[in-house]
Amino acid sequence: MKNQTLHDSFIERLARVLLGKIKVRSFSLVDIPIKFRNVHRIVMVKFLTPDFDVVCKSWGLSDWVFLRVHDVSLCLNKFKLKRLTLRCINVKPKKAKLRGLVSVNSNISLCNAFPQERVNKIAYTRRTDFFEKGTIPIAVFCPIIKNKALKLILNKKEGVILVWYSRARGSDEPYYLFLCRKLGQQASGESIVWTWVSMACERGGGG
Amino acid sequence: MPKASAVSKKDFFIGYLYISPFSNEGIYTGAVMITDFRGIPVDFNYVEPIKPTRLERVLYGNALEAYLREELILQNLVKSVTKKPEVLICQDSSLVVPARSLVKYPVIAIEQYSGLPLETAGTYERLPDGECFIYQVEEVGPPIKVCFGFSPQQAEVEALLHILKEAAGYMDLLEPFRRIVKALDVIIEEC
Repeated sequence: MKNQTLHDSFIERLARVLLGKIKVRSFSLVDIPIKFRNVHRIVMVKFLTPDFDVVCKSWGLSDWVFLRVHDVSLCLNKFKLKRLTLRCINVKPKKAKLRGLVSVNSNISLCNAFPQERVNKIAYTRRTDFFEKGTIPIAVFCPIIKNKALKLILNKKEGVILVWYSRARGSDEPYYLFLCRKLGQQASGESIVWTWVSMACERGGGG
Repeated sequence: MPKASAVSKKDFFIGYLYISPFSNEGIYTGAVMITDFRGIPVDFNYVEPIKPTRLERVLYGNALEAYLREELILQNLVKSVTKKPEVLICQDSSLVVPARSLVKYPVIAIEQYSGLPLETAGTYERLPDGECFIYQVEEVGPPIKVCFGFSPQQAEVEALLHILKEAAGYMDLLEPFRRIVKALDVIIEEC
């Protein structure tokens, strides 16, 4: 109780001392210019798919740019960014042009690696008088430029013949390549024979 | 329009345009191959495989395939051609009209015709739609169906069929598409 009395007494005295010294002022809010500040930072997030080709001109890189790689692939002689994120803070791109979503590449060597295929057209052969008696054509592959063929492989499973051509200059005369069965020669083991027939001869009616 | 008399066997190229249909993997790609009269490639350009995102599939809806194939891939492939072919052959007749609007050389689609062969090589029949022809392009082989995408004049038909017949004397006209598909398979595997 005694402490409480002292405390009250102290507050009363202090109030008497300060009361005359406190200035109370009033002011109007009308004349004060109020500034709005935008604390929001512009953050641009660009997702570049592997097929994006972005040409950016005159980037005003004033602050921060983050490039985050998500996925890469490494092929022979190729390093490819498959997915990445470009995050720009305080960057004002003046001009960004998207060329398109696709990228076109050239690879002639890849295509040259594949041989040409010739399917069996025996079902469409009308003339079989190129051959002597006892020789029956069972398959024909055409047209094949005989002098340019480097390698020929019969794909028995698919019934096609694979042809690798030379690019060298020379005769371009096309041929039929017949696979024939010779009757009466099974014992000798040479019952199947390959026969070239010039398509020019066929056209001219020769044999 | 090509002039038949001007085309000799060794001075012309044939273009092959292939754009993959929608696959189970959801990948689109395509290629254009230019060959000489023997079918040997002289130019090959392909589009890096495109796999539309789920969002893109939702946004584009049914128009996605047409947009990708007929606009995006087709335009970029056609622009990439450096050796002008005598004729550009598409594997899909739906590509003929959009492709023709982009190039100055003839564009056609060909496919093997399952009907009986015509009498002799060089003969052809116009189909009822007026835009397609059955053509016996070689002596030994099935006829092919040639689609122009419009009703062509007689002279234009004969000039173009002459080119096909010249080429078919040295190569299998449809075979380059098989090589393109194989090459694209390799490219897709590498990605």
